[in-house]
Amino acid sequence: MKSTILTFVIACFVIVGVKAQDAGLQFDEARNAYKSGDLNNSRFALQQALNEIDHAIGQEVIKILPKTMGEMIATDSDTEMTTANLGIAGLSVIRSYKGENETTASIQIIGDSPLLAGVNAILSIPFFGGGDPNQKRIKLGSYKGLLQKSASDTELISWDIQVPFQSSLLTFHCVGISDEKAVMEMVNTIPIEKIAKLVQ
Amino acid sequence: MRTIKYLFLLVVFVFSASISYSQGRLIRKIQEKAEDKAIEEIFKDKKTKKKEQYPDYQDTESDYDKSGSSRQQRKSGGLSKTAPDVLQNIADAESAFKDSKYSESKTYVRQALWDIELEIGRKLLNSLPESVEGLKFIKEDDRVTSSGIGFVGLLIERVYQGKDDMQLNCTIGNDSAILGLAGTYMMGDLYKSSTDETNQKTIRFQDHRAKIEYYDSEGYKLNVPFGQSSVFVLQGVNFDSEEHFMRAADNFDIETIKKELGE
Repeated sequence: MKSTILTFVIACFVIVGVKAQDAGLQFDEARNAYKSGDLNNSRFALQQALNEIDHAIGQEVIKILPKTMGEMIATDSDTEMTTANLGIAGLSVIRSYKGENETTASIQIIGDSPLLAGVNAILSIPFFGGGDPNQKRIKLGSYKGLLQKSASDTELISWDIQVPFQSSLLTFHCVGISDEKAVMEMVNTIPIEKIAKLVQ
Repeated sequence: MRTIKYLFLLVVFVFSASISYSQGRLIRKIQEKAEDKAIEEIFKDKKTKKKEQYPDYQDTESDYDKSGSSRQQRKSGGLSKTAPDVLQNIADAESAFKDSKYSESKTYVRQALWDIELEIGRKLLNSLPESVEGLKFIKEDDRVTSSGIGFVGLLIERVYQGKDDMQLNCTIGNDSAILGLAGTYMMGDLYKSSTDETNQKTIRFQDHRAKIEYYDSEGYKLNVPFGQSSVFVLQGVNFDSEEHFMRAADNFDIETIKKELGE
């Protein structure tokens, strides 16, 4: 058992080491290409380095995301992380949670995406969502957000919470819980201030 | 009879009152004018003397008066120009990354990317013709815009002007997701089959599928998507015919542009 844990820990370090080395390689490649006047390859290497940095940020975000949401437990195999240095998607981190009686939840963070700046500006307007009885303005830490309830006769009640911060967006989705207070308690366990600091 | 008398007296009173009011106003106006003139004379002398003493002296007081409570900005020296140092930015990014300061590292990488893209743009501008069909390029209008990210990408612009109000605007977009998508859409059969507009047509331009448009208000416009996410756009104002415009377009070599952009 001890050796299994040790192997796992070493493997984790090796993986982190490989990622860090990858970014280092990109920096070297960018530097060498620039020195030799190959601007396009230098540019490509830097774009790749941006990917690596986003990947590292994603890893840090995953580390601080809650392992449980109320009674639900994170399904770690479903934790996804994607990065795109195109700047459209930016960084994306998703963690899913599963509980009893078909209750599920997920946290998605889309980070540093210029495309979101416009969406976020709308979401931050105080009167946005005021007219719909299923929509409500909420506050998560020092950030304002939008809570939306969806319910129908055939489907389970679901909740969506969107919290914008600068050019990033945190979305919490939850299915199968009817109590708004319980949903808010879960959302409040998300360390948004720390996430915002990492992502920006 | 008595009523008429009172009425007459009232009219005389009103008339005389209005005259005295008008006279008062007139006198006040004259008085104000005289005061203004006197002040002007006094201060003019002072300012003239000051200007004689200090040739560089500028009449800030009058600017202040004209603009009311806010002061108007006159032309200043602008921001100081720092030479882009790509290698330093890469070194700083690397060091920040090693210290797990990822956001900082990202900022340095982006700065390095901006600088490299600006260099690529400038190199490409140097490879473009300086004159096209008698039109000369306007050096001051050469422009390179870089967003440092692929969403908007790199934009390179050059303007040519000449006789008869003719103008040629050349824009090259590179590494832009928007341009990539737009290019695919524009040149795809989908667009061709969904429009019956007669002021545009698909043509072959230097072995690339291209689109040419004509509008009375804008003139001719040639769109040539190339590579993975680049586009060459040429707009000709006041060209007398499509042939004339295409002769001008032939001065630009898409293969050279592709090579410069590493496409």
